Amino acid sequence: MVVVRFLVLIVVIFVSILMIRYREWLVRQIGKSGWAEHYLGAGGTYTMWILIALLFIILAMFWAFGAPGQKPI
Amino acid sequence: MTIVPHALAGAAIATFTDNAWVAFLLGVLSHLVLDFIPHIEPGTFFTDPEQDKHWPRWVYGIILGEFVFLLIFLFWFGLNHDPAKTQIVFWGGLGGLAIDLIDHNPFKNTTRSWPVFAQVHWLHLTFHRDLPRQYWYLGIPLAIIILGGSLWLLLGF
Repeated sequence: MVVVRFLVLIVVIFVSILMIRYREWLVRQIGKSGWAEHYLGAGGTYTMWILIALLFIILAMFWAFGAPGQKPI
Repeated sequence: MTIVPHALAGAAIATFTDNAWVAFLLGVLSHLVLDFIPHIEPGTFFTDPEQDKHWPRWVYGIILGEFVFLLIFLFWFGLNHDPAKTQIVFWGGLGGLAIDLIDHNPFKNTTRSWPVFAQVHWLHLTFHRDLPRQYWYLGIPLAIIILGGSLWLLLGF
């Protein structure tokens, strides 16, 4: 189980880094988000992809090791 | 101080508790205490503020190598210890890194003007003591003592 959790964590970290690194390509493919541009300011779509990538990493860490206050599996 | 001593020291101090929140907080506090001791790190060599904004690629290579080492260490620890202990060590280590992750993130030139990031930057600067460039070698024994002591505590956990 430890191996699976680690592999998932590493894959999520790798994909998230790619999302951050190639966020311009992502925005060109998917387009700009009106919501992000409105609430996160000019270029907010790029910031949104960075935040999504960071959220993925945080969720994967919570799942892999157990969030503070949560009993680890 | 680079990220491995900070992460291992945070993880080692966290072994004194069994609460992950406390482990994280102890990790953060350990970062500030260790930063208060004059030490060696990339900033020792890039004293010009403009140079400090964009480090050379080899510095990022070392940082990447350190993260890979920490992941391998954590993997080994997780395989050989029960999940509760791994959880404590992980959150302590993350606490030890948290200030650097926030203050030295790849977008630091932008984020340091944001709320929370700005306060963390101020706190980091307040506690941070760099060794003068000509005495950089004095930081090596300190790093070895911290790494050795942390590993000794972690391996006995």
